[in-house]
Amino acid sequence: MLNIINFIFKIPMTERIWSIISYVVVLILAISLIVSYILFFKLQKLYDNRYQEGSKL
Amino acid sequence: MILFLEIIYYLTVITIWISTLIAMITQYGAYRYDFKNINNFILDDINNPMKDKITIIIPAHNEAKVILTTCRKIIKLNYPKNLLQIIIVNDASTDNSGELLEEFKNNNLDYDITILSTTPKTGGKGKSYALNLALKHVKYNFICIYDADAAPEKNSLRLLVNKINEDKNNYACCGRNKCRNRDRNLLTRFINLELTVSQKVVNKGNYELFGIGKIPGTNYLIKKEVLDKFGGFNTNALTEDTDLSFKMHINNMKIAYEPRSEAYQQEPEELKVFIKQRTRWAQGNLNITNTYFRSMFKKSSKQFKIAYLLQISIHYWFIMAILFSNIFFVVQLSIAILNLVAGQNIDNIFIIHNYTINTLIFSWAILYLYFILNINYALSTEKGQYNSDNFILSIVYYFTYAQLFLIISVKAIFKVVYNKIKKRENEWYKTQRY
Repeated sequence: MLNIINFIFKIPMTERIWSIISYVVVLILAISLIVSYILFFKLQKLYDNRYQEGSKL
Repeated sequence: MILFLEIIYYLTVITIWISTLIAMITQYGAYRYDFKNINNFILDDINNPMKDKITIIIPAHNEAKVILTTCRKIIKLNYPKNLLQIIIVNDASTDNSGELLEEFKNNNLDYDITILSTTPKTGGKGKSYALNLALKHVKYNFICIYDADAAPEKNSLRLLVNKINEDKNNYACCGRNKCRNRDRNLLTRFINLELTVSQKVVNKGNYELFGIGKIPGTNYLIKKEVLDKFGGFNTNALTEDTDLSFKMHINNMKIAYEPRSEAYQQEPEELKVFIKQRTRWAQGNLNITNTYFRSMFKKSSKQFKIAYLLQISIHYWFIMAILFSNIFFVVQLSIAILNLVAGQNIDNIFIIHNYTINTLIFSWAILYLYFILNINYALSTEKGQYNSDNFILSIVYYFTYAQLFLIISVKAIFKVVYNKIKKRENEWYKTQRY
């Protein structure tokens, strides 16, 4: 598979390079996930369900 | 075998990364919208004098179970009655919808109500036909469409009108829909979660970041000139709303989104009905993405290109991520079981190296946690819905409800290909009411 990537993208992809790339991507995604959770809890304090009309049928 | 596993591995990782990226971007957009509008959520400015005249169209085919509730909700709208024209298309109904509608009209003579009736011979050809029939009787420049099961909140129309008038480039404005029968059973609870996420996170995020709205089937306002320009609704499309959205994007007509304009709609209560309805939607969306594929490579508007890519990313990437994760999981599990049965050392059961397996597991876990966050964030903005029951449902959602979309996608793809080969026309399916 790495050979296929080498062939298509013309970059010397070894298992070592792939592992570095994958760890970096996972790290970025993990950090953004933590930030998203922090923002979520911050919004909760502001929200307070203010704009719902919420009538019952 | 090793090559096959490796290919599946890389496809799984890449689709998971792309899906996470999409979830991340839309989440960010929704947050930005909410931080910006947090002080506008209180509905205290909605008694401004209205002067725009509106034609409301309600297509109805065998809707006796729900049509009266809908009509009553329409006349309770916080909108001057002298500015409203209501057209109800009783399209080839064989139940008592006709009598109920006549009675409703006679009881509300102070409203401008027109009832158009067709017989099974002259009508019953789908929602677009019914809407096009009504278009011939429209008096005003603004048209608001509600499905026969829609129950709009009292300010919903007013909010749509205010929003569309904010910018002269707004040619349509859509509101959002809530699940009318969400507490009926487990299926309707899951549908409620899906509906809430798609409108409170995905649609909101896309509108905030790209200014792109998408017309839903119900609860939206559109200028008559748009429909005149396109010759009405596309009768060949199973999802006439997506078709209309794409046409508008190609012509640089802006679609606004007003999530405060809310309407209830009824959702399927049986799995069979749900799969049929969603297969029709998936089939319609597949047909439309195929039809408009070429426009992506022509000199079409930037707005259309973004809308098209968003449509694809929402409908395809996530399903691909589920599909490849499932295949990878099943194949690995089978190999593990076979190796164990053959008495091999458990340390060697994974063909792919441990660190690459870790990458996959971490990526999947991040996507899953994003998924739970998306659902809970959407729920937290809904009155009384951010509770422990829904939290538990959000945890099992991926493993249960989300998997149904694989079946739906396979069915839809099969139907599209089959109809193409057999040169058959798409069959309209009317969702059952309760």
